Amino acid sequence: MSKLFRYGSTMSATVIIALLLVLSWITVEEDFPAFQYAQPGVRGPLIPVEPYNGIAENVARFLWDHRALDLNSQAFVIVAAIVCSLAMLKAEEGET
Amino acid sequence: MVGLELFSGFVLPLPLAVLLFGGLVSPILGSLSDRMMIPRLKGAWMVLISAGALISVYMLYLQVKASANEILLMGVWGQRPPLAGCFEIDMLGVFMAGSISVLGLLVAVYSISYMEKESRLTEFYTLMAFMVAGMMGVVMAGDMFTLFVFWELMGLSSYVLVAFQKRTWGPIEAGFKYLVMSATAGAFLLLSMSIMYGMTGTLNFAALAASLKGAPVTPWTIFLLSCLIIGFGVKSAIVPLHTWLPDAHPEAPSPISALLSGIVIETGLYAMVRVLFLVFEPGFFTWPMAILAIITMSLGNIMALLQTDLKRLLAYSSIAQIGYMLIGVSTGLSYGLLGTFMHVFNHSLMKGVAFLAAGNIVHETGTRDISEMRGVGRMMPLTTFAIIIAFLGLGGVPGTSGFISKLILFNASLGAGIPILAVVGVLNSTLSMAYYLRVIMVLLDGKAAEGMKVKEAPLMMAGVSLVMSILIIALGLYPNPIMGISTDASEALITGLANYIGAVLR
Amino acid sequence: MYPLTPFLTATGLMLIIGLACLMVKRDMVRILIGIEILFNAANLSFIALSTQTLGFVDPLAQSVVMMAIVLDGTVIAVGLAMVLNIYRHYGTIDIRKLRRLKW
Repeated sequence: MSKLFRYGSTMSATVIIALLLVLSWITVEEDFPAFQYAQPGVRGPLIPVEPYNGIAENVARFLWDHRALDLNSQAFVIVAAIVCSLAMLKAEEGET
Repeated sequence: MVGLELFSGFVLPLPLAVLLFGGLVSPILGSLSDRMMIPRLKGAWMVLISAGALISVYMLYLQVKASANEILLMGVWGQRPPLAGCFEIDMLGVFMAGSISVLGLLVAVYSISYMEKESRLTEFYTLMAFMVAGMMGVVMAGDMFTLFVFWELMGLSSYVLVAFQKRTWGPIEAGFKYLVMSATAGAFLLLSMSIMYGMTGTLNFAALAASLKGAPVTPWTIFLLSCLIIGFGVKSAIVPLHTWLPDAHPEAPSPISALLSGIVIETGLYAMVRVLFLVFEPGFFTWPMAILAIITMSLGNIMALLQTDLKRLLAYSSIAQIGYMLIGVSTGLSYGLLGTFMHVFNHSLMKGVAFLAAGNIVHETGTRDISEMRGVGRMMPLTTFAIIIAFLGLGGVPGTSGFISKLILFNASLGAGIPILAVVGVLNSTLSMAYYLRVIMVLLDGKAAEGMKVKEAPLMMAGVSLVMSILIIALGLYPNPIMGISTDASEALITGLANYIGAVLR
Repeated sequence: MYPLTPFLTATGLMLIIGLACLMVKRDMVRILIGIEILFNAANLSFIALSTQTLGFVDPLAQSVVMMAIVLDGTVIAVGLAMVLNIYRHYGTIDIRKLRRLKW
C-alpha cells in the first residue's frame, strides 16, 4: 500500500487531466438543459430585474417568507460550530 | 400531528425538536453541573433527551401507520412547498429514525460510565446530541437543501467527536483526514444540487421526482449521477472513497465509534438511496451500484484479514457490510431494499455491540492490539458473550438477525437477475468468519489467562452490551416485527412514490 | 439573459483548480483553501443559473448560496482549530508528515 504513495503525484495529475477533458467536452458539446424539465407551478415568484436596487430586499423577503426553516437550522449549525471550536481549543484538565 | 407546534402552523417533528432543543440546553446544564459539582448531570440529560426522542419516534410511527402509510408533511414555515423547506416523513423515514434513536439511547447510557474521567464533557454530550439531531433531520428531510443543512450539522459534530481525545496525536490526524474528505464530498453534493436545480428549477424531492423521472440519459445526467455518488459515497464509505474510515473509527472514543459505524454511515447510505430512487429510474444505476458493491465487499474483507488492531478490524468490517447493503440497492426491487434496510437496522445493533464490547476491553486492558488480549475473554464473561454474538451475527450465522437480512439480500440479487452478486456475497461472508473466529480464539485462549488481573467492565457498560446482544438473538429467532416495518418502509420508496409526490404537489 | 456556457466553464475550471490544490499542496491551510474553492465553484453555478430567465432573477438559488457560504465557513473554522492542534503535536503543518497512521 505504501508503494502506491510513490505514484501519488502521477495519480493526481492523471485525475486532473481526465477531469479537464471530461468537463471541457461536456460543457462545450452538450447543451445544458436549463430548466427543461421544469413542471408548471413549481417555480416560485421571480424577481424582476428592472428596479435594480430592489433585488436584495426582495431576496431577503423571499428568504424569510419561504426558507425560514433552513435559516433556523443554520443557526443551530453555527451553535454547533462554536461548541466544536470550544471542544477543540479548550485546555484539558491537568494540563497547563 | 406529532409535532412541536411553534407558531402559526409551523410544526417541527417532535424527535427532531427534542434533540435540537435538548442539545441547545445542554451547555447551560453542563456549566451548571460544573458549578454545583454534580458530574453525572450532563450524561443524565443526554440519556433523558435520547429517551424522549425514542418515545416520540414511536408516537410518530403509530401516527404514520394509522393513516394507512400516508405521508406526513411537516414543518412548513410560510408558504406551501414546493417553495418552502419541509419535512416529509413516510414509513422509511420513521424506520431510520427508529434505528437512530435506539442506538443513540444505548450509546448515551454506555458513555456515562465510559467517559467518566474525561475533560470537556459538556462539549461531548452537546455534540453527541447535535450529531443525532442532524441524523434525524437527514432522514426526515423533504427538500434537498434541508437535507444539506442537516447533513452538514451531522458531519460537523462528527469531525470533532472523532478528534475528541486530543491529548495524543492519533485522533487529531484521523479527524483532520476525515474533515478534508468529508468537506470535499459536501462541495460535490452542493454541485450536484446545482445541476438538479438547473434542470428543474426546484429542490423539493417530490417536485424533482415528478420532473426528472423518466428523462432520457444524457451526458449531464451521467455527470449528475457521478457527483451524487461521490457526494454521498464518502460519508457512506464506498470504495474508493473509504480511506478516512480505517483511521477515524479506531481513533475515536468507543461510544462514538459505535455511533459512527453503526448509524452515521448508514444515514449516508439512506440519503443516497433516497435521492437516487427519486431522481433516476432504477435500471439506470444497476450496474454502477453492482460493481461498487462487489469492490466494497471484497476490499473490506480482504483488508480486515490483515489487521492486528481490534477496532481497525471492525472498521474494515463496516466497509464490507456497506458492500452487502449496496447489493440490495443495485437490485432496484422493493425486496432488495427490504434486505438493505433490515441489514441497516441489524448492522447498527451488531456493529454497535462489537464496538462497545471492544470499548470494554480497551477500557480494562488499555490496549487495542489483538495479540496483547490473549485470554482476556476468560476474565470478562459478559463482554465476551456479547462480542461472540456480535461476530456470529456479522458473519451471518443462523439464529442471529444478521442471517435473515443477508438471506434476503442474496435472494433479491438472484431474483433481479444479477447472480454474481450473490456468489461474491456468500464468498465474502465465509471469508469474514475467518477473521472473526481468529479474534474469538485469541480472546478465549485458556493458557494465557493464568494470573491475569483484568476484571469485568463496570456494570453500565457490560449491561448495555448484554442487552444489545440479547436483542440480536431475539430478533434472529423472531424477526416478524422488524420484517413488517421494513417491508412497509421499502415499499414506501418504490410503490409508494405516487403517494409521496401527491402529498406535496396535491 | 446571460449566456450559460462561460459560467459553466468557470465552474469546471474552479472545480479542477480546487481539486488540484487539494491533491498537490502540502501545507494544511492551503488544503483548506482548496476545499473553499470547491464550495465556491458550486455557489457560482447556482448564481449563474438564477439569471437564466429573461428579465427576472430567481431568488431561490441566491438564498441557497447565502446559506451555503455560512455552512462551509463553519467547516473551515473547525478545520483550522484542528490544524492548530496538529501543530502542537507534530511541530509542522506539512501534510506529508502525517503518515503515522497507515495500513
